[in-house]
Amino acid sequence: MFNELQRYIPVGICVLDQAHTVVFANEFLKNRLPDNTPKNIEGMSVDKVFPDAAKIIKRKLKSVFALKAASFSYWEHRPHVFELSSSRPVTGDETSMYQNIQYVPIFEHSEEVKKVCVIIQDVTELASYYQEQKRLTEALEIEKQELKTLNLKLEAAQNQLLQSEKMAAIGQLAAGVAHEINNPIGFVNSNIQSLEGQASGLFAMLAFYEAHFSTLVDSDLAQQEQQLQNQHSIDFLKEDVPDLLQECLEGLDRVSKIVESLKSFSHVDNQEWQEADLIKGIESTLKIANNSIKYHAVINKTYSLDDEVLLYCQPMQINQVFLNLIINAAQSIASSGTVTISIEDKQNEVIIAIQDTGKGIPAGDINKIFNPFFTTKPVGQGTGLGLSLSYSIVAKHKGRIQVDSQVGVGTTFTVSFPKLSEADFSDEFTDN
Amino acid sequence: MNMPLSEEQRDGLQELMNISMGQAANSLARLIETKISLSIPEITSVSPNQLNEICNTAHVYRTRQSFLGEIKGEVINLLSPQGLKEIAELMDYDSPLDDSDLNEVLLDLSNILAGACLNGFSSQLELKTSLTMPTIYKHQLSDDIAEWKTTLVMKIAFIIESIAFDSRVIICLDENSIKTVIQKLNAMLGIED
Amino acid sequence: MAIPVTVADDSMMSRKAVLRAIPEGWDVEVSEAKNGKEALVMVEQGKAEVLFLDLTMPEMDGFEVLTHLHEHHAKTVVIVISADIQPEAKKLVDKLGAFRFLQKPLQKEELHNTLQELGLL
Repeated sequence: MFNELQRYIPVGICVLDQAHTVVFANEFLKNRLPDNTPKNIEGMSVDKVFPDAAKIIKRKLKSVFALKAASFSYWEHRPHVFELSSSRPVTGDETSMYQNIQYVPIFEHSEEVKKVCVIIQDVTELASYYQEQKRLTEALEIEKQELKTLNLKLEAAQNQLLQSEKMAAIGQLAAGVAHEINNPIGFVNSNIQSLEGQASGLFAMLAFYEAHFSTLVDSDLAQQEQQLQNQHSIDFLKEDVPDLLQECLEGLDRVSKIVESLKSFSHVDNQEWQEADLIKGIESTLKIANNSIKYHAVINKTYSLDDEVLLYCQPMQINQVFLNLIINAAQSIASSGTVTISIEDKQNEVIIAIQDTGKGIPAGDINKIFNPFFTTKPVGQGTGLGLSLSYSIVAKHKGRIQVDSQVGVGTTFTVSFPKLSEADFSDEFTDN
Repeated sequence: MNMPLSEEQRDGLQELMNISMGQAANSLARLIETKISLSIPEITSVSPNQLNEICNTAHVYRTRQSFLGEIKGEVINLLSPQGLKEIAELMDYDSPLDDSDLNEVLLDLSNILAGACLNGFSSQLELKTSLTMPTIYKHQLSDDIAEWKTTLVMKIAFIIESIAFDSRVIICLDENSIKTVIQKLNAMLGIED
Repeated sequence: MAIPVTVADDSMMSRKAVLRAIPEGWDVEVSEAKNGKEALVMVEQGKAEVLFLDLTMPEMDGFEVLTHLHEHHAKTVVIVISADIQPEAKKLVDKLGAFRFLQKPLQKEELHNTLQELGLL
């Protein structure tokens, strides 16, 4: 009965002895042998029947004989130990059989293992399904990674959008404030200027009176005049009034500069677009800034004055950016240091780097420096608009501004502009 | 289920394990022609959490294998990555090993150690059981094993000093099998149930 | 006169197994030791003309006991009964002067034959 039964068992069975000779092989196995192998493999050595697998098979047998315990091999690590064919249900192709194999010791009522029974299970269907799943999982994994990068990009884009929206809101606010302040400043300014003229008239008149009073014989009247002069500290007044008026004008000047900044901040697109040489721009900016930088910073230029780096831009606005960055760089240097300005003219973009050996920006502030009104300078010295203004100017030019800073070492601002033409900005113009 | 082992029972199990691992080491030593150092086996009754802790050791390869028969349970092997290459060479693998080879060596080695230990153990107790195919175990041990409220853990270390390899075989028995083992053990020791 | 015999093994079960395997009618006086140190004390006290010795024991293992006896008490008949049955272990035990090496689990017949061979029965 067993002899008949073993024909129907859907696994390959093969018994090997200590000399690695095939003692028995069932129909299932024989039917799946390669065409050039004789069907009657009993009595043959594994070296002959399975030449490619002989080494692995012998190793497994050695372990079973020595340990008297079953050994296994799994398709994932060794898919095709025995060269056998399998019909693949998916495509109907004849293909190499994926196999799970057990090597079982046969004792035959003895203490010693005399033979080993090799049981070969056809797991081709399972293996191809599993491999398909694995491929799918890998594809999914790749897709997941792509989505992840995309998400990161989106997040960055959203952050940028948020920043520019913030800029726009601040811009509107600034425009409003500038407008409201501009009027009173205008009339206060003109009033004070008239007052200055009128005061000098009054003082001229006063001088005339003084001159004539000194010639008076009536000592009583002269005394009264002296008394009044003392009572109202006219001598001091003569000195102080022009000073006061001058200070008022200076104050007004400062206020109008802030208003100017606010105005240009909110009207960055109001400037003329043209092709301009950035090196000329930097040079003219340096001339303006010279006063505030010459005492503590040496300017180091890596470009030559003969070079020309052309960019289609709003030159005045770009200069504003340079001015802000250069003055910031110089002001970050306490006693002495270097500000290095470099410009790189690449095929598709221009990169300007302004590097200082100053005190650096604390990590906690790095994210805030482009926010409007953020300043670390003493009250009155900085408006806190320089960098946010620069940011929006660079953004208008579709460029990027980046900052690298290390406290105690220095800061580098890197501005890059893509080389674009008028057409590339057409949407910007129609938007505004 | 609370399963305190008496000192006598623990001693008995330990000695059975000691003999089994002696046989296992001898088999392996003959196969790879290298001396193997043995430790004194640890027999403990542990909770799932404790078992988790033992098995989730970092920096080891883990394999698992179940056994079925008159006693049932699972064998977990922890194998050190150090020395694996050298063992593979002793076992006639061609170097360099690729990933598949490495996995196969791990499974072979696990099967040898687990098989020899379990065979020795069950044959001394005259209980029949057979091991299924081993698999590599990548995940953290968790819920599936937590169903076993108590597990009898027999921990054995095989150390091959000449190549700095060490491995631990943890045999876990389910509750019914623990009962069966203790009955057999009591009979051997001449203890009344 | 009864022969003083000591069974040295950390496992109580193993000691019992040896005691059960000792042939009936062999006139012996048996002592037990749980580790190598205790085994040496028995030897010092003259309680171990025959010593059944396990190899893996706490405190002092069988190899150390053998080394010590090899140097000081060459007359003690040592029969090693060990679970560690690797060829290396056997070789080392031989070198250290043990009379016989028996493997665990101990077979009653094997012990009987060994004792006969050694002329102890």
